[in-house]
Amino acid sequence: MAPETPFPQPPGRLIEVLHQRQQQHGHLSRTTLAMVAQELRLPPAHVYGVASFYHLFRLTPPTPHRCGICFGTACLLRGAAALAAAQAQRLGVRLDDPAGDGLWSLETVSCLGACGLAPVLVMDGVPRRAEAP
Amino acid sequence: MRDGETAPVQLRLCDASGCRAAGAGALAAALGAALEGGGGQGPRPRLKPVGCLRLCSHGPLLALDHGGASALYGGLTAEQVPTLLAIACNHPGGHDGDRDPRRRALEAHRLDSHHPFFALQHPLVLETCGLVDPTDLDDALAHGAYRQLQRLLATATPAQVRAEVRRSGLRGRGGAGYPTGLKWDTVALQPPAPRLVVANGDEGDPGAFMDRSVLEGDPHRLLEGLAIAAYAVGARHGYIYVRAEYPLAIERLLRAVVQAMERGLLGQADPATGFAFVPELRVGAGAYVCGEETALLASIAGGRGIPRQRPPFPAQAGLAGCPTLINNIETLAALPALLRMGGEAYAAIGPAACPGTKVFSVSGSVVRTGLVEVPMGISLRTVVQTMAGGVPGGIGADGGIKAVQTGGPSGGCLPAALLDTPIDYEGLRALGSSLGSGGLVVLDHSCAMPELARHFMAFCAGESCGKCIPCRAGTVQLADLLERLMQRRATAADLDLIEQLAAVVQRTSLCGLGQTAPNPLVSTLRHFRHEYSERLLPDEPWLS
Amino acid sequence: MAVVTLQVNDTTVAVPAGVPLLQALAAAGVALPTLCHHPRLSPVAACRLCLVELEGASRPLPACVTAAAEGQRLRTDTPALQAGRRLIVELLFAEGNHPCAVCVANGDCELQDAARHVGMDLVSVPYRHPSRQVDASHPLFLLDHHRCILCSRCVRVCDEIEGAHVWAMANRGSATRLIAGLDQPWGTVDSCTSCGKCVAVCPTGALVAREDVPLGRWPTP
Ligand SMILES: Cc1cc2nc3c(=O)[nH]c(=O)nc-3n(C[C@H](O)[C@H](O)[C@H](O)COP(=O)(O)O)c2cc1C
Ligand code: SF4
Ligand code: FES
Repeated sequence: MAPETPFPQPPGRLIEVLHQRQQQHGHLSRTTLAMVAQELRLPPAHVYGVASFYHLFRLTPPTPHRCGICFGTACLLRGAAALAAAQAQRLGVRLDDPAGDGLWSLETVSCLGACGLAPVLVMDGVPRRAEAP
Repeated sequence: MRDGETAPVQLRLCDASGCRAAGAGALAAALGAALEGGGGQGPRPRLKPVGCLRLCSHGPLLALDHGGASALYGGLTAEQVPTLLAIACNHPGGHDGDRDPRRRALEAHRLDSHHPFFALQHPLVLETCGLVDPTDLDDALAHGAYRQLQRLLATATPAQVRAEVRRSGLRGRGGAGYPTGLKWDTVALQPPAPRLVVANGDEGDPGAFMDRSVLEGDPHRLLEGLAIAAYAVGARHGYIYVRAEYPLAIERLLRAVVQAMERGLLGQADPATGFAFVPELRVGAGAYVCGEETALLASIAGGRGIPRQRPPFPAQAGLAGCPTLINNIETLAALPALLRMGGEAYAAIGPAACPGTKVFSVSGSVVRTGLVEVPMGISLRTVVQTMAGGVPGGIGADGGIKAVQTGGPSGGCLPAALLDTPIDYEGLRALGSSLGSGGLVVLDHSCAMPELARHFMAFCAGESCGKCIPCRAGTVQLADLLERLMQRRATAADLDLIEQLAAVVQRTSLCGLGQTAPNPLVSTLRHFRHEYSERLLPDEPWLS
Repeated sequence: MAVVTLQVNDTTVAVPAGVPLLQALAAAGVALPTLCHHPRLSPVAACRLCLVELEGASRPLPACVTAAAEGQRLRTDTPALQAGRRLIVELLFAEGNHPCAVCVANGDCELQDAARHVGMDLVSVPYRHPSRQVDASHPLFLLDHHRCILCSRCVRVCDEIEGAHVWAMANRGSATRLIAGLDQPWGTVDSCTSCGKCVAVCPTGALVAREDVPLGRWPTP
């Protein structure tokens, strides 16, 4: 998701670099974070602090497939919680357990701004309307 | 018009993420294939991807422009493509016209463009969203993009631009409603130093998707607005911060920036004034608090999105200590139309204290969900009932509506009895709610208010940055206490504690997140107190 | 430097213009509890215990970062301020695990001082009893996360004065926690100079010197 921008970026490149590395490796391992710290000449503690602050940075490897369920207000009102329970049962995984069953994991995601289609399901990054269970 | 006067036949397919999720991709592929291979006769209709066509609940949306008129269709699938193209190409279509069952099937998907949902809209921010191809600079230019920027550079000083915006009475659309002209003056009048502008596209309020629609549907309008703001306050460099959850908006915006730079519309010194403006895109990483302006600056600088105490305000000391103008995407996107019509004409729209138009995203339990742009001061009822149609199958004077949630996690709920309230910043605030950034979530009678309050409190607890104690520890306690209440394990003393905690969190938190986190709770306590008290454990006087 | 006159709870005091209001409070002989503030470190205004009401301001402001200006009138003792301070201290006690009786810092703890100051006699919010760790990997010092109130003084002293950048805050919200290096045992962080400044500025018993701890209570690394 890290876009290449056509402009030089002097100071605050850390978040962008983390996006890039996560895209390359799927997650941000401690080794990756150590390398980023060295490259950008930043204290390792600072790099870890930033990486762990943001929800979208993953510090552990993701499962190959991921199913997200929007828990925004509109989706919640249209049955997101029941949808999550149904999906958890179907996939045999626990909600918001990043390890999942090794193949699939199920996570809540923040509002995607697609409230018009609530409840919204995100299958491997592709949002779509889910039929309320 | 680049397309010539003969009004070609054109298919505008909504290619924004809402309709994409509803299957616009498959429809586009089918249309593309049919047009490629298409039959010989007649002029070929042009397929044009556009931004949001407003009525998201009926997506994928497609508009057919034909002979000067437009027909809007919703929920089409690939099977209907041949029939659609037959109409577009003026083919009688096999059998005789209207009696053709396939045509009748298609007509069933036709949406009434005279319905109040469309008829009551007053598009300014969204005036070309849904008309222009967001990936095509030439198309944007043909629709007037960058014309106001060029006119102002040629004819107005920065002070004159600021005066015009002051005259318009425009107030920030990011939630606080701060007068935009005043903020611009503060930045412009700081002691000499470099200045920066920032477009706030973090849009984290659940239920809000106005800014996303602007970015996905008309990115050049934002860039023009941002460049005008930069000219007005004397900045040459700016940032656009977009949340990472909006990949399509990021892609479109990035492409628009490259196009505008290559064409010399941005980035190159204006021959008359020497003004050159370079925008830079920054992508968030999933943190609601980064919409708060000081956290936004920390995040742009590459750090944890932790707010700091104001003053100094960013307008005085922002990024790297430079005076920094921060405006919401919609605020900036309102500028081209505002400056074209002039401050006075803009000020004449809506109430004097809060003029102009506002984009709302309507979702929840309503027949029609989507985007509406309406004059400020319109009543809530007009928007959620007349335009959006109320609750599906809802009956009664209020259309089955129980309440309307405005302002997301920092806002509140207004009961149906208050639906005639005109929408503006002070009006909603006086009733214990807030306009916020413009998300309207309609609630029906199946919604339990304490549960809604618990949902928002848990959201804020999860999004608290953790810096200050009242917000970090207080929101968690409140969410737990509300959970206890929902499980009918809370006592009257717990409810007292809830109210005390809410007041302290509001009053003592460092930034807007904590200060407003109790609002949904407090506003539902105000209007729906019985829903809380009826869930309390009965008093057991023999225990005390 | 210009001197400004202002009023603290009806006492008139004069202080240099622009200094933090805490100095005006001191001049007026008014003491407020402070936890995140340290005179030699950059202010963060995070603990919210020093909030004062300034006439004309729409909400209370932290005295540790608000600049003194001519003619200000401020109050430190309104019922709302007192109730707020007390609840904030209670929230802190409920958030971590603070069994004072078995703490090295007992009697020399700024959190205890704050509790005494606000007159806390019981904690009205539910205790959360979090499960936290102890880091005993450093040869000279110990870190007990149960007692950490996340004031970030250690982070700041290490960044701003020692320049070793050992510490940072990780995660967010109620999951926020102090980390050393890449969230590794403190004793394995190369940049630590063992200067002990973090221990010196810690307001509670979260960071302590091994030599202050009764023998045998902690494992050696
Ligand atoms: C927790 C929090 C979240 C916010 N989120 C946003 C946001 O997503 N977008 C936005 O424009 N403003 C947001 N704001 C408001 C901004 O701090 C700021 O007031 C606004 O961007 C100023 O722009 P305006 O004057 O054009 O409204 C948020 C404020 C708070 C306290
Ligand atoms: S109010 Fe919440 S989000 Fe804002 S600084 Fe305090 S802890 Fe962080
Ligand atoms: S001492 Fe001022 S907020 Fe902590």
